[in-house]
Amino acid sequence: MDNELSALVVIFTEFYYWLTVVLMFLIHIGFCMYEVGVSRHKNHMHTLMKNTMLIPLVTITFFFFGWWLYWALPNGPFISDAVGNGGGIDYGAGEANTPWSETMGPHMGDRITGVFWAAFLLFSWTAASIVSGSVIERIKSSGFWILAILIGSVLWVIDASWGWHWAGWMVVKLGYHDAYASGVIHAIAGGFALGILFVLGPRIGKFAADGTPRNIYPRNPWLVAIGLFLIYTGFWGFYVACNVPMWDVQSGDGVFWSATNIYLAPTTLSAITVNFLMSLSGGLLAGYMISKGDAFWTYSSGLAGIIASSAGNDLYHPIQALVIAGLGVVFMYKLHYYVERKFKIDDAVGAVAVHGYAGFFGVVIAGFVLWGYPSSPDPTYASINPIGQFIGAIIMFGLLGFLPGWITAKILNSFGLLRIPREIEIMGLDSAGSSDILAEQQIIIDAEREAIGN
Amino acid sequence: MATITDWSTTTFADLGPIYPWVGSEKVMVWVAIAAWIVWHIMQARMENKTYDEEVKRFGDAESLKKMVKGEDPRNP
Repeated sequence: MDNELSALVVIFTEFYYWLTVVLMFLIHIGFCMYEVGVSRHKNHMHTLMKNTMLIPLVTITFFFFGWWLYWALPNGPFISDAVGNGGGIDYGAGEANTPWSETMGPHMGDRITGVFWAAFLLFSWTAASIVSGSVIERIKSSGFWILAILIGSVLWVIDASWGWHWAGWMVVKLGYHDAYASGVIHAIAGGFALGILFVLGPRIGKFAADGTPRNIYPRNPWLVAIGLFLIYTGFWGFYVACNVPMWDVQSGDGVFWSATNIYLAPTTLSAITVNFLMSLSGGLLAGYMISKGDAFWTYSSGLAGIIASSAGNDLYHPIQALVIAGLGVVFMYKLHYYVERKFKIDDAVGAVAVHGYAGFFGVVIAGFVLWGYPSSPDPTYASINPIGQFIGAIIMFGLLGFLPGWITAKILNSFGLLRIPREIEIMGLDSAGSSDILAEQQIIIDAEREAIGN
Repeated sequence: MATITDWSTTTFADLGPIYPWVGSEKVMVWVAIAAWIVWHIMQARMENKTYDEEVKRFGDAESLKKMVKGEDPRNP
């Protein structure tokens, strides 16, 4: 910070990530609006509060241990020397990112840690918020918030450390490539939600006695539409936050400054902007056709299209992004209805499909389209390949997503912390505790009647 | 208490943390973690109590039938 140019680079980077945080805040607003729009009147406030309160809970736990996990675990389980420092837990890298590290507070020698922490935190909110929508109208807040912390401050952070870190073992050994988080955010959150849904069960009335699924239509389609538009908007921040804005990518002699992906491999902000728009378009076009113009699925397919292309959107040609997005939407739409009928899964907002299936698809397809590309500037790392990507997708969706979601939901259920009582589900979650409010309202009505002599 | 008492004599290139109570970070973190755990315990108890009371007062078949019809048995 002792000359204007170096100060400009540092402060530009600080501002760059700050801006992504503000944009990504819109994702959470969008998710809240979307969920409330889908829920029935009797559950509106509970639905809103369930998603809102994950903000402070995931924030503080990400501060307590989530950030440390990202930096300490890139070697993975039982993998030695993935990053060339002897293997195991990387206490050295973790130490600077503990909650008691001096650089977590105002510090004149570090302007990046805090804002980088915040950008990661907003990813954490997104992971938890994806799960939130699928379980509405019948989950206890106490159980959901424990699950939200698990996915937002533990599980996705571990997968990011493994596969979304410049030296994560999956990148080193498998050639795993997931530039804009098809797997590390979306597939894991979708898989986690599916694991919970298996234990939680459907809402009353979702399935007929013969097992035929019934639609529980969104109560407020306008709120759903605005919510999804806001999620699209916030996704710009999500994409930009996945990049490093300025990095010398030239190995050997010479200097060449470029934006990079999270693996420090070069890309451009320009390219990912085009690909974002093309994959959004591919998703919307395919979603409109396959759902026969259904607004709910068309909007959701726009999001699913972006997610399906995200793993490789740093390198795809725009037409590739468009086509992959469309194919991913057809895949997730068909699989959603198959799983719903086969396993009686009530995913209220289609989150498992939009995030889980589309994310899984995105990771796998990138292995074919980007086959042979280097996964990192480090030439000793494995290159991108279909098998590595497929194993990666299984790890994201199944090992770190579905399995912990199912096990934790089972545990919470055994303690009576997962599902609300049947009577409360019929009354509506907003009814619980509202008796006193109704009585107080009646007192005011009586007073008004008395005032007019009636 | 104050980590910085005079900006005018500070050499910024050598300056590190500027928040109060430098050196007591671990104590602050552990107190916050304890408060977080207590929050969950209190919230779970509060939520279960609310549901139990509501079911006890209005969870009978007659009240639930009224609610499904759109009537509210809680209105005095």
